[in-house]
Amino acid sequence: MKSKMPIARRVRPDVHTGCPFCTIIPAHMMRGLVRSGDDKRSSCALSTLLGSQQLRGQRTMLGVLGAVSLMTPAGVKRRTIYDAQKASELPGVLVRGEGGAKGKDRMVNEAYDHAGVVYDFFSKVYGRNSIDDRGMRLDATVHFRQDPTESFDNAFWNGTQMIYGDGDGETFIRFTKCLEVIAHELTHGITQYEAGLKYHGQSGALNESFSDVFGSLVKQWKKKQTAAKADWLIGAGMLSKSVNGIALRSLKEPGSAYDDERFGGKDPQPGHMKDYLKLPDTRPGDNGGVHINSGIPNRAFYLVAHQLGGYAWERAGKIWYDALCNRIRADSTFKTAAKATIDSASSLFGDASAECKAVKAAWKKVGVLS
Amino acid sequence: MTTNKSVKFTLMRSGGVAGIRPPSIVLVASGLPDDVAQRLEQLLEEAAFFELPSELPERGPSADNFQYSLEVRRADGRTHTVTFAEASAGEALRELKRLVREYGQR
Repeated sequence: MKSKMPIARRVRPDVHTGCPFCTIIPAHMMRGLVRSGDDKRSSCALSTLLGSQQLRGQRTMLGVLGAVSLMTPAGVKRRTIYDAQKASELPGVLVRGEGGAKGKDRMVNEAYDHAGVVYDFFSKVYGRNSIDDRGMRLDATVHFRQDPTESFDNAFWNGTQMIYGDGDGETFIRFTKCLEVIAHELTHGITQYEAGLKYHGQSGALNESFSDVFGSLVKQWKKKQTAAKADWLIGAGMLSKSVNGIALRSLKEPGSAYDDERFGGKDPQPGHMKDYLKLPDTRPGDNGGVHINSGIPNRAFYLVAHQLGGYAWERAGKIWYDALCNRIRADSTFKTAAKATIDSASSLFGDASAECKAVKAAWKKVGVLS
Repeated sequence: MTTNKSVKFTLMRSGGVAGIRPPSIVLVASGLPDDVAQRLEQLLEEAAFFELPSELPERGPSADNFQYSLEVRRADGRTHTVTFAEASAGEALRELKRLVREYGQR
């Protein structure tokens, strides 16, 4: 059991189960629990038990890392990169801490550098100190495989850290390659600490959309691109040459990113409410299409940025950031999110401002408001 | 244990940062060598597959994680589907998934 034990950090209570700790349930215990019947209650109790063990593990790790204080001064960036060595154990072997020298491993360097850009963007543009706005350490694990025999075609946020796979080389290149994908994952962390958007239905699609919006903005900021110059793509350059596609998603033209049978066909993202895809609110149904219907708020953001021109992070991004932190709630819908961004625009720039008008017009154009 | 070679496995994946749902992987045990078919039976037993809830609870507020659904249909028509993230599955279920991926066809 201990060899499989991940090291997790304490996070907010799990919104789904109410568990005070979020953990992975060990295989053999899971089996026992499943047979015992009341698995929700049992797994919650087990999670709590595991959480305390993991916190003990974390203290050991903190010792290894050296001078890591619990109170972090504002504006201090702390990145920690681990190598899972093609296995599933988290966080893996520590390979680079803050200020550590650049190494030969491209994924380690990219995970480190890109996380730094994301930190700097939120710090310099919106005055935010890391994911939780309290200097949370940015942890990432590279060369992760959930199954040692299968290359891992994914990047995800597990509630406490980022996890990146190598990609299979046939459809996907390494998942650390794109700055906007790393920014997408880190923004999931920010959303978790701010609006806490539930990961299903329209609130889940908004959760995905905020990650795409700030994913793209981080890239535009790094490249000093105006809204007109930006590609508005997520995962550009991450697909292998054999794939018929340019990226995972397009905020500018949802539904145009790829068309490949290995990806299940054409990019299914809609850019208007009339094409909203009603999928089952189950995990096989992508929780009601959270990665699909995000195309609608994505396009609304693009339209605002396009209308206002210039650097999108300065006005459109500021409005979306204010709404995410101050107005949007866990169960927000597209409509309430639209109203939230209008309120943000109004309070930041005024009721009659070009910004406020652009936000209203964009949500109308994508069919969310009439 | 008797080997039931008429079992059909269907593995689907959803979620992930790409949000793509690749074609399902289908495995019919009748086309397999005896030892593999037997191993699959053994794993169904070990995982208590037909007693598992249809969804294994996922750990905390993660995003973009892969979600798997494994459907198993027996010769007598008995069918059960379990949805899980890799980290919340037991060893036997993980090995089942691995074998379906290895021997199945898209």
